[in-house]
Amino acid sequence: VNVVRAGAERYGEELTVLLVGHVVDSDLTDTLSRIEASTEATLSDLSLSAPAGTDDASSARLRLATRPGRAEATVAAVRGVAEEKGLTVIEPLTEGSA
Amino acid sequence: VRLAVLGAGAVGGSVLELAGAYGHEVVAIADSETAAVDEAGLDAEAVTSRKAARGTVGDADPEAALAADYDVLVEATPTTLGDAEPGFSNVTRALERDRHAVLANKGPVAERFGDLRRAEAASAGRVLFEATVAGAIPVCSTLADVGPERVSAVRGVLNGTANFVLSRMAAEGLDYEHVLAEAQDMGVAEADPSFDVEGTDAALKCVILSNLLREARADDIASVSPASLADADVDGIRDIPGSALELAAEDGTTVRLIGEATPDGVRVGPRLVPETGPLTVSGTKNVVQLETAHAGQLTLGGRGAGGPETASAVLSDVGRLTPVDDR
Repeated sequence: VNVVRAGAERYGEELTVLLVGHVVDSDLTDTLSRIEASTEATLSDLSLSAPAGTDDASSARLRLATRPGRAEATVAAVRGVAEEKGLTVIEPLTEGSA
Repeated sequence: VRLAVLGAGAVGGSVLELAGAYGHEVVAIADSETAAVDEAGLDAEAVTSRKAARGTVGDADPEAALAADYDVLVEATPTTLGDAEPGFSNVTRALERDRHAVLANKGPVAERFGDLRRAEAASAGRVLFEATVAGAIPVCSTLADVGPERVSAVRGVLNGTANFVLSRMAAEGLDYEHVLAEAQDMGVAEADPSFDVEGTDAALKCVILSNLLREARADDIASVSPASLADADVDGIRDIPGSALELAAEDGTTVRLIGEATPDGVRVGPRLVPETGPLTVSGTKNVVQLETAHAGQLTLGGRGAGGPETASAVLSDVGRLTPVDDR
C-alpha cells in the first residue's frame, strides 16, 4: 500500500488488486462501477490482459485510491462484487492483515 | 535413543538412514503391511534394500513395531484427515506406555489437536511435531523459543509444489496446466496434485500454527477450542491464468500461495507480494515469517519437503527429548 496525494488537502492510500476469471464476459464496466459504488474508493488505473481472447479466462489489475484506514474495507467490498460476478480476487498481502 | 519408526516412505526411510549419524538407533520400523524389529538396532542398509527389492521392510506384523522396546515413536505414516487414523492411535499407544512421540504426519496434530494434548497430559511422554510444518525449517521450535504468546501471526509459503508452479508461471509466461504437467514430470507435483494446489496442505500447517498461538493464550488446555481445517478460509491456485502473473509483474509484484495463521484462525490463498520481498521465494522453497511483539518480523526459509530434509526435523525433535527413564 502506497500513500498518495488523492486531493488538494487529503492523503489517501492506494492499493492494487487483481481480478481473474471471465473478467470481460462478465461486463467489466459494470464490475468497475459496482466496485466504485460500494466503496469510497476511486479507480485510478486499470490494466487488462486477455491473451486468449475475451471468451477465455483473463485478468485485470485495478489500482484503487482510498481514504486512509479504508483499504481493508475496500478489499472486502471488491471481494463481494467479485463473488457475485464469479470472479476471483487476488489481494495484496499486507502485514497484520491476517 | 531407541526409535520405532512407523511409515517407511521418504521420511521414515530417511529417519532410518540418518538416525545413526545423530547417535540414535532404530529398533523397529513398520510399513503398512510388515515390520522389522531388532532390539539391538536395525541394519538400515539391509532394511532399505529389502524394501526396494520386495516392497516390504520385514516379515513381522506392523503391530510388533508398536510393541517394541523404544524410547521415542516416530509417526511418519501418510497424513490422513478426519479421525487422523492410524496415526492418532499410534501416537496415543506410545503415550500410554509413557513413551515420547515425534510426528511428521500432520493429520493428528491438525485434526485432533485437543485429543493429542489431552493424551500427552496424561502421559510422562511428550509430543513434538516440528516436521509437520515446512519440512526442514525450524518453525515450531522457533515459535517455542520466541514464546508463542509473543507472536501475533505466522505467515508464509508453506507448499513447495504450489510455489514451484506459480514461480515457473511467472518466470516463463506459461499457463497453469502446462507448468503443472512439467512439475508432474519432474516429480515435484503428484499425479493427483489437489492436496497441494487447492491449498489443503498449506492450510493444515497453518491450523497447527494457529493452535500453537491459541494454546499459548488460553488459561488451561481444556479451554482451548482448536482451530480446524473446516474453519479455515482456503483458496488454491488452479484458477490463476498466466495473464494474472504478467499484470502483477508489470507492477513489480507477483503471486504466491500464502498461508496466514493467527490465534483467531487460518487463511490460505493466492496473494500479491512484492517481487523482491522476503516471502517471494522461488521453486519448491518454503519461507515462514513470524510477527513478534518485541522483535518485529523474523523470517526463516529453506526446504519445506523431501525425505532427508523432513527427517532432519524429526531427528532434531528426538534430540530435544530425553528418554523417560533417564529423567
